[in-house]
Amino acid sequence: MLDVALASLRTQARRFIAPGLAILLGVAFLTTSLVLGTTAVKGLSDSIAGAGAGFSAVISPPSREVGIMPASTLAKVEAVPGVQDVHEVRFAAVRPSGDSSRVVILTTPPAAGSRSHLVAGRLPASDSEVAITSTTRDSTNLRIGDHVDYAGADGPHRFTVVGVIDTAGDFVFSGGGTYAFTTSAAVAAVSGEDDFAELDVTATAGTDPKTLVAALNTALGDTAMARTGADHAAYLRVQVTGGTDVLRLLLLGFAGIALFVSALVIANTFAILAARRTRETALLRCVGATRRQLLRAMSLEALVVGFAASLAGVATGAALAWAGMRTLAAFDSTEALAGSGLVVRPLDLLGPLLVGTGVTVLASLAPLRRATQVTPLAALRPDLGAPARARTSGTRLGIGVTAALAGAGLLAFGGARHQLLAGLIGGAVSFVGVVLLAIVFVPALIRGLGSPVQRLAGVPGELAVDNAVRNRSRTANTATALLVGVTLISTMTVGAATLLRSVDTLLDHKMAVDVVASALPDAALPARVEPLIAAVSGVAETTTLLGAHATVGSREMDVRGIDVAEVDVIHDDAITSALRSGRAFVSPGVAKDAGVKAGERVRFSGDKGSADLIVEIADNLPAAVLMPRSELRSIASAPGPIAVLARLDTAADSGALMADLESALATTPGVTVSGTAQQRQEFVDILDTVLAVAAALLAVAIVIAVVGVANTISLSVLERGQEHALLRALGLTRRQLRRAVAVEAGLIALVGGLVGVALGIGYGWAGAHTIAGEEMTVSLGMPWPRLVLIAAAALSAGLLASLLPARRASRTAPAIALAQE
Amino acid sequence: MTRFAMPHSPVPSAHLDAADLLASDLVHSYGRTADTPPALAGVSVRIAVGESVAVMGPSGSGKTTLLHVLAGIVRPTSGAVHWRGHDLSRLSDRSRAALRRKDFGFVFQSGQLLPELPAEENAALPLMLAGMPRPDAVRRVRAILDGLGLQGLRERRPGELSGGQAQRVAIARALATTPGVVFADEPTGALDQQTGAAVMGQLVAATRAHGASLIVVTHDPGVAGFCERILVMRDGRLVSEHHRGTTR
Amino acid sequence: MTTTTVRHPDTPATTAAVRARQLTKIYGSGSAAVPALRGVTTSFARAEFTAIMGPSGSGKSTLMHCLAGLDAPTDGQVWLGETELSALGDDALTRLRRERVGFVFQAFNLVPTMTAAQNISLPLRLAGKRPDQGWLGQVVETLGLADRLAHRPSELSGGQQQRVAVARALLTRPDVLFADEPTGALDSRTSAEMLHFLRASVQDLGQTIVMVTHDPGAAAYADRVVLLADGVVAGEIVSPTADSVLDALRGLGA
Repeated sequence: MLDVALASLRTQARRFIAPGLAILLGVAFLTTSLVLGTTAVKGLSDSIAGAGAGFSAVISPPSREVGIMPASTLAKVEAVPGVQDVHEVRFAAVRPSGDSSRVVILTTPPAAGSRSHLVAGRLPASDSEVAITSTTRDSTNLRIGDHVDYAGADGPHRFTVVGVIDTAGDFVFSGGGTYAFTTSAAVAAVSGEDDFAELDVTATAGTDPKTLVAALNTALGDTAMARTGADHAAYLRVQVTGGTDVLRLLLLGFAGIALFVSALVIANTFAILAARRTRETALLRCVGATRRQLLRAMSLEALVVGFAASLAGVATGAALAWAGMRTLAAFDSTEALAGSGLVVRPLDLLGPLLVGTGVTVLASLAPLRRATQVTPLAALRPDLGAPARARTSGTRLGIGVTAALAGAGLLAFGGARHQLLAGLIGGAVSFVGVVLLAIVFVPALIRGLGSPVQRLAGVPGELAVDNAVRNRSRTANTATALLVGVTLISTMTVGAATLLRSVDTLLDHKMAVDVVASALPDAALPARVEPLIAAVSGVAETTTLLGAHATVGSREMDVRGIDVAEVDVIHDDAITSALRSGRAFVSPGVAKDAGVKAGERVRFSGDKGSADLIVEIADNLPAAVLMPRSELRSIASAPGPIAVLARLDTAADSGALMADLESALATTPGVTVSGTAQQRQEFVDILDTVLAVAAALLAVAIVIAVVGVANTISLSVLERGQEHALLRALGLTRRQLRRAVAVEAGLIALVGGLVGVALGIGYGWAGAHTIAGEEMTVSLGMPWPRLVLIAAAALSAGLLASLLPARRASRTAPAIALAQE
Repeated sequence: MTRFAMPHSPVPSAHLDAADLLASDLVHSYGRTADTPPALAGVSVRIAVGESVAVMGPSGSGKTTLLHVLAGIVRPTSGAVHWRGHDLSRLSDRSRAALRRKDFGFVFQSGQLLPELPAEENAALPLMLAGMPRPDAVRRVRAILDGLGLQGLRERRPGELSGGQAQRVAIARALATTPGVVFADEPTGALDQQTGAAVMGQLVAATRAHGASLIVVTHDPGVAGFCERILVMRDGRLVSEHHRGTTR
Repeated sequence: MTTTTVRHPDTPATTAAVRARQLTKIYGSGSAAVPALRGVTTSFARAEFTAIMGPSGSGKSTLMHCLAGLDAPTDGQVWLGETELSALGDDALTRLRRERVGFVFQAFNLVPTMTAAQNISLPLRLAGKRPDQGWLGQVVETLGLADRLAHRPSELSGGQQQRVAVARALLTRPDVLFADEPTGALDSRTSAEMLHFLRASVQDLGQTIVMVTHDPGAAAYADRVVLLADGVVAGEIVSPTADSVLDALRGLGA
């Protein structure tokens, strides 16, 4: 039996290329994920290891929620015996004056033992000196000796650049932000706050770090936490790799999906190949081979194919990981990864090899076992041996329907109660049900879609539809492979669109104004800001807010006045109508402070006069106190322009618009832009990135599915050599034959695509509801263009997959294939 | 329809030998539709050791089904087939497979050689299936292949053999395990007149030389003429019997 | 050759349904070249039933393939009526086969996914045409297929399948109906029926039939037998009988 198996492998090697490719891709994906994951973790670990290790003790905030330590901490630390020197670490986010779009993180220079080092000039010595990073130097034209202003709480602060520090490989500065270094005191001065982010302690010679840390913790109490330098590094590593582990799990999840699709392709291939060898199998049974002998021989084939393909897959995966590292390193400004090189654990290579081989053997088991059931009779009288329209197993249908319904129910429950786990399980179970039922609805849909095709494409169309439904399980499996990837992508697309649509509603509740352009605190807004904004295409309305000081109840506050004629910039109808009728609005915080309830009259007093206005409470206005402008003018003598509010066209493309807005305001330094449009754009950016990454990862699964389509079609073409020869003899032209093959592939792919999109709509909506339904009302967002694109892509993939098989089919010479064996 | 009667023939077969193949009251229905008549409607027959028997009849007469049942490929709906003390109709699939491997040989009309194995391995296949190592198995069948005139063709693959040569390899395979019975289903159907006659002659001679019985199903009277005994079937029953010399 | 009924054919008639001149077909190349036909010149008259016979390896199937436009000869020419086949490209040949040539093979004649009716009208539908209902009815009636039209091949017996193939071949009223061992897979009674019908379509409908066979009994139904041996025409028998054919074949035997 061994000889038979090996002999047939040798002669039929070509048949196994496509399924081999499917396994190769899946295994390569898995390998790359594992190797890159391990490398990234090691790289990060290495770069963290430097942090804090040189210090005897590191004092940091007690938890992540409380991110800072009060200034008094320093004194407490210095008071502890054994403390020789304390290195202060402060952070402040500031904007360079004249560039409202950028944020610079001002901080103290890195400690001597860290990976960062000085490359030019010197460290800042006084409070007006700053050192920039080499990245900043490379991307701007700042040079040593230049002046730079940072907008502080109390106005701009001027600094002189005295040095350049290279932060590559230093974990502390790897977040992607722009850093600038100055003295600790200067940071406090600019930010207006004197809290510390970290205090690094060097102990006096001979002091035991552990005892020191214990003493420090006693002195500090709850306000801060002291750890030895080594412990701190370990603590950081856990924080960081926790995130990487999540990333790795995610990648493994996608690799799992890809392997699942590979399994489908493998199962299908082996079923088809076994069917082709029915005659031979029956012959062996006739001559006396037992079922077990046959199964063993066929499984051996599967083992060899799986092993060889997995081996190739591991090699490919490792190569891809190496290439990926190179590319990442080129883009990675922190160069946290570059130092360590590719880390390859034997397990990361061995694991995928075993998994790939195992998946192949397992996936082939069921179809091969079915194949050995063939009776010897099939060798002798093919028409009697062949099963007539194999009846779909009732069990399969039963389980399928149960799973689909139960899963859908669980999904609905998860959505209604916002339980993510229930929703996920429900989604998975219902999908399994769909896959089991595919054998029924895929051929039915193909018949349905096929009727118009037949009318259009004539006999080739007829042939295509008949062939596609002829072998139901084979067609269903092929369509299912494509279905998996398409469903996932559609789910994410619809989910994202739904979330986006719902976020709009949410954002409106949080802030009722699209765009708010405000000046720095207590600075005046240049007059040209409003016309500049109004000139941007997509801006529907603008108005200028005036501001002045006034007393509300007993408190002194900043009060804003809005021109009632232009009040429609605010989205909220309740607010706008109230403003029109002369009421004022206060935030809930102010209402509480002033002891005011909605509907009460409150006295507002300015330097010119007073007004008693009925007050409403709203938490979604860009001002703590807002009143009609006329009223403000009656109480304040010289209210100045403070901010510009704008409403955008609903149809406007927020991305392009925000960019236009930024460039329009480039000439007016000191103006910051906020508002829902900004937040929405950030949200859109995040969603788009997530979607793009997910699509790229799912692309592997889709490619495998397309390989599966090509495989099924080409094996079918091989099977039907005699039939095609007959058709050619009877008058089917080459082109007609190619068309028949293409239409067959197209129909299968189209059904897979359409069902996938339909499922995606359902799952996407349910998913969005589950995740976000608690916080906002979720309304279905249907990104029709994208969904049509996905379905069209599936169809094209199918047609593409059929090109080679169609060409091969059309080359059938009518005479040769008809020759008797 | 006349019932089958014991023949008066020069072949001494009155003594019931356990090595005879004995079928009693075979009924078989494939059962595709309720109104399909049964393929076998009550057939009893005894094949003596070393006898060559042809089973003839029009298509649909049940001759092929009878072959399948006698060979243990199909379990009859009712009735029994006795061979060397076993009742084939009661055996499990596994046991019947073993029997087919050891005691029976098969020759079909066409498409019966594994395309990827050379001729000598095809002939040695049943031996290899039974567990014999390849070199030994191949050595065993060498003499048989030579006896059929296939000396130079041992290494050739089926694709490189003519129809007649391939059939001879199949005969060698059928004889490889020194079977008790060789079953042949239209062995010359795909061959032209002359080659067919030659192959038939060799089949009969070789089975006789190996001491095996031969059962041939055919619709060709010329082919049937090579056998000592000719059974005619119609509508699932045996309707007549002839001996060589009484029919052309 | 000693049989007196054998004589060599003359040059082709001008009203031939199909004829070949110096037809040569070589498979493979170089040292592995196999010459299947070595300069065959012969013609087949209209409304005649001709059988092509010869020992295996004589090239009779190859000859039929070339005559029918299924395979291109290495050298020589084939005319179907007035049309010279070697001048036609693949698409033109394919279209020609739809309406001017009919086929019946030994086995695997029908498309398994189509009903008998669909199979019968297949060549016409490939040409984008509708069958002439009157003629279709007549063919179906004559072949006794009226109650089998909606069945698929798997639901038909061997004989019925062949009859469907014949109906298909006759429906387009082709110039020539080529049959390659049409009775090979049939038992003697069904064989006889089939040959009877083919004979009748020649006599009653004027159909031209060229049949390749190795069965002298089948050849006896033909008007003429062309004998092929080693890739060349080796003789011809007019008004053949099973015996005269058998004798001639023995004379040719390898």
